[in-house]
Amino acid sequence: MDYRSLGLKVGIEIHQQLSTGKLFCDCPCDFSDDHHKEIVRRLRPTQSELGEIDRAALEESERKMHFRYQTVPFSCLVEADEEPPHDANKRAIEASLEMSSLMGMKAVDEVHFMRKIVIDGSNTGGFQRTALISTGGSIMVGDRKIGISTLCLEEDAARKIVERGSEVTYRLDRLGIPSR
Amino acid sequence: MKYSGLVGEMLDRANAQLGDVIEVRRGNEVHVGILMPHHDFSSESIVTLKLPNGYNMGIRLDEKSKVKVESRREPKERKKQVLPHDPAKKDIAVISTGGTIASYVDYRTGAVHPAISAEELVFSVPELLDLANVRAKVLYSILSENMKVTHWQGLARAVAEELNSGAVGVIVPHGTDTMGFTSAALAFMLRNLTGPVICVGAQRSSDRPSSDAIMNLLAATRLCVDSDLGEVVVLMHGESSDSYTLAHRGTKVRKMHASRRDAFRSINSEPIAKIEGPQIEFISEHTGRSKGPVELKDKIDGRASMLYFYPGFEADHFDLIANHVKGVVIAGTGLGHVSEEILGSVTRAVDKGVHVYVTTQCLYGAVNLNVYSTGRDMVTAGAIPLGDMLPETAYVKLMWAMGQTDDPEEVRKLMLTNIAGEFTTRRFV
Repeated sequence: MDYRSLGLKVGIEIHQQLSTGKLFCDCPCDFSDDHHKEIVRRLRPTQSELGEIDRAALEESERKMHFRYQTVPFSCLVEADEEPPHDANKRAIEASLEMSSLMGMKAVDEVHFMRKIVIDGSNTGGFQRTALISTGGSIMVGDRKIGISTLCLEEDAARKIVERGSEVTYRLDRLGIPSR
Repeated sequence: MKYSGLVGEMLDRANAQLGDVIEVRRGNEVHVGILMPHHDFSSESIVTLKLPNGYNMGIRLDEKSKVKVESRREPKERKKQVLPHDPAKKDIAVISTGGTIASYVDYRTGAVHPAISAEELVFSVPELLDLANVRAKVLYSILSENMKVTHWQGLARAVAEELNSGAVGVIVPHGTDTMGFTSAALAFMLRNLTGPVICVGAQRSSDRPSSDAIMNLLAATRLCVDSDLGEVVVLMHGESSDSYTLAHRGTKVRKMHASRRDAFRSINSEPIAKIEGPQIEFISEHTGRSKGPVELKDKIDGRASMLYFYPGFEADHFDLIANHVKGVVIAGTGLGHVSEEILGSVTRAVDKGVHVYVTTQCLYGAVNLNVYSTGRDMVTAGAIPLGDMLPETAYVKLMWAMGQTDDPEEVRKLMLTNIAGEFTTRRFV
């Protein structure tokens, strides 16, 4: 197959966790081998613009899954989707801007977090918060210039522990760790 | 949500509406995306676009920037939805008042709007229609902190009308912040209930896949259809998990957490029922359905105030308020106490004919003004203790009692009579 004639273009998405503390709460970015409490939840597709829910999609989601979240001793209510997010972690934003600057990227005038709906249970709220920080940079690798199109800052998903039948177990320690 | 200043003018000139795809040019930069609503905390000079890759971006505009509309938001046709009616199923009524539970999201812009019609609300939880025929109505579309006495009255009338015309129960979607006040008000205004009146809220809005609204609404529907309950209750999650809900007596319930799903708690009593899937388990005594008709006692005199005592509370402040109202409910410390200074205010207020009732800011436990001399002095001054009645319930009840009669002795009698389960005399270990 001649990829060049197909016009194939491959981009790479690279994730790097930050050790700045979590993105939307004041919890540490640590992992824990054990857990203490469990919360069981369901997620459901949200309404469409018309205020309707596709019945088939609904049944699919109901039939499918419930999610068991293991909290660790340092989990907080934000991670459990029981408290609104705190202000975005300033150190995480600064680290992202610093990285942007090192790669010659242009930062956006104002950072706006948005929600990516994810209903596989990996986020307790059913969505992942993510923001565009900067665009249009590059790094030099040897004598080749590698373009970096965008740098985003987002919260990491919860850690999947086990999947059994209709139940997926996640641990909340990884949820909310800033990642860019 | 609206753009102002230079950005507002530029968008107006370009006739750009929220949801349109617009092109923004600044110098040699060009950005194309969906025009998103202005965020309250966003700078005035920033326009927010949703880019084709889904990310949102704030772009600062200056005098030389150019804005033009690339394409209009496609107008979506709003189909008028008709709620089905199945003669084999019972009728329930859904009377919406607004709040988180009754909101929906514009997925193009992410803005949260109140549900425009009750049908929209019902069709957002289509499973309701598997359990009952739903008569839906949007009575108000307000946040619960904006509720007033007149809203409670209008709601009580609407509920009575539905029950008296064959609904087996009424569900009242309501903002959670003041839902306990509304449930208490309904409990005093509506007597001889032929079915449950269930205030239901959501702590996570319906724009989140993790919203608690659906489970709460379904459990409320089951309680309407499958139980003999004839009381006003608040129904919300029983714990953080989506496992079961609890129905709390309308006069004994309080929001005890700012954000958790299980924020509502029965205070000084057990919840009435636990609903888990289709199972309804009654936990404590309850009043069953009456044969009807539902009686409406909807007169309320709103000239009352609730005063939370704290160290340093100045007599002037108490006097100022007492001069403007007919009744005061004090949330005192511990067993119901106020300072010696406020004792003087209580005496002055009672002498002027102001009703003064006492509850405890501890919420748990009962007022007892016989134990300490402060308490005894309060009674001598004319303050009347209200046992373990919640301060908010006492405030609502006082306004209701003052609406029923002008005779102070009759007000006192009503206040001390257990009308809607607002008193419990035994608080279990």
